[in-house]
Amino acid sequence: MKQVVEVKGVSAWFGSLHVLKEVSFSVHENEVVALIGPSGCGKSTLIRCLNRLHEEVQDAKISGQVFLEGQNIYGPNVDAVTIRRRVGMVFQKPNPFPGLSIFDNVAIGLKLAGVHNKAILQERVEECLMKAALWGEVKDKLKNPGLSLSGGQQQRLCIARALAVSPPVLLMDEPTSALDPLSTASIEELIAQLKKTVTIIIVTHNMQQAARISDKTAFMLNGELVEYGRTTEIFTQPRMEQTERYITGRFG
Amino acid sequence: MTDLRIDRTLENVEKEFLTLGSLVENILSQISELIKKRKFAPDSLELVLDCEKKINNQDRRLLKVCTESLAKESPFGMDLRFIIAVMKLSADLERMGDQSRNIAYLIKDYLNHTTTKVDQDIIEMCNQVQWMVRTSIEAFMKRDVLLAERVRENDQIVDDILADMRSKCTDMMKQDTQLVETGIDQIMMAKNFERIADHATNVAEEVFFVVRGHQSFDSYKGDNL
Repeated sequence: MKQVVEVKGVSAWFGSLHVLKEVSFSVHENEVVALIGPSGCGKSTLIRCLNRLHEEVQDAKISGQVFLEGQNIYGPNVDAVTIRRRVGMVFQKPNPFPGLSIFDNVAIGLKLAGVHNKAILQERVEECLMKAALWGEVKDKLKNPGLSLSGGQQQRLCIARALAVSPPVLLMDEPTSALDPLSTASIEELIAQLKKTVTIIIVTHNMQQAARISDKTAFMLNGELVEYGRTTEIFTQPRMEQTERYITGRFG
Repeated sequence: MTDLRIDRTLENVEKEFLTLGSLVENILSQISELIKKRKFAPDSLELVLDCEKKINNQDRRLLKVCTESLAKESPFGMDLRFIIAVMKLSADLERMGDQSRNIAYLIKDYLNHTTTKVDQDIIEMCNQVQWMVRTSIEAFMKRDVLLAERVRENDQIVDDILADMRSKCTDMMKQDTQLVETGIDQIMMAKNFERIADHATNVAEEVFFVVRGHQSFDSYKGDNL
């Protein structure tokens, strides 16, 4: 399988606070990778390093290399905005653009990328809403505000928005922690469908969720990647004592 | 240390497993006494059958407790392996109860026969099997792989006694046809003991599974611990 993301010796700081320490791992095409670990262990910082969002924070620093389909995203002359188009992101709290319709929430990324042909936009928005398993619920109210949807629908709208620019990688930072069990189940089902075309890296505090949806799991602690391996192994027979203690709820 | 709900759940599973283990040890000690004392009182069979019934009930109870624990706690890692192992071993312990009952039925006729030179082998086999069952349960409760390995090694001793007994019984039956019934009963008793030893070995092997996720001592030894 093709390697899509390769993280090599990445360290990150907020000012003098060293939050990521020499993290290295790789993610292959069509994989879902779950990042688990106690609060403050560096999971969210790590995924924010994968689409160059980390550098947006004042005093934030990063060292090491992140390769996206072979290209070092921190290389010279690499545009951060272009990288963010190729590495989509879905956040914990659904964040549709206020004031924009359902249609425009999905179309905005394409418009910003220079696509203005109405037929193409129509086709692409429909395709993305279908991929995000939302089309059936919104096809008759595409002009309604994105914020008029339920929490679960808003999150799927955000996923459709992220998919619009066809990113090879989708990052998800606790995408279901604000959702009810039914909406959570639909997002999880969606992840299983999406992985056929997108590589997904998801941060989750829900261990059962990580076990259900991911192919590989990375356990992080104090900014270090303690263990990375097949999810079935991490959750049944982890190699590291710290992982065992965390997944069995004995610390963290 | 914090008192975790998962720990209380596991303690409950352990307690129920230990109850089942104690009942199996109990039925075996009843059989052992019958064989060693060569006395079959009118209520002897009834007592064994009563114990076997308790084993069946406890097996069902243990499975229920395990199922509820899985549903409520969604355990991972060693906790998950422990509950899976208990569910598997519950069946092994229940079968030990069945085999003990079979032996009890055989003892009734066996004690009516004249004594033979194989009787001592039956007693030896009974002792070995009792030790294996007791020790395998202890190893499982303590997650003690070295103790479990001793049980596994002991299985060969029981197999050897069975092979030796079969040969002795065959010779005995060939020489004296009056002893055919006795010989058949002895072989059948020994076969049931040997099956109990196999189940005890299963208990021991699950210790490796619980501790390291491997089923055998060989792969365990290959680890860099």
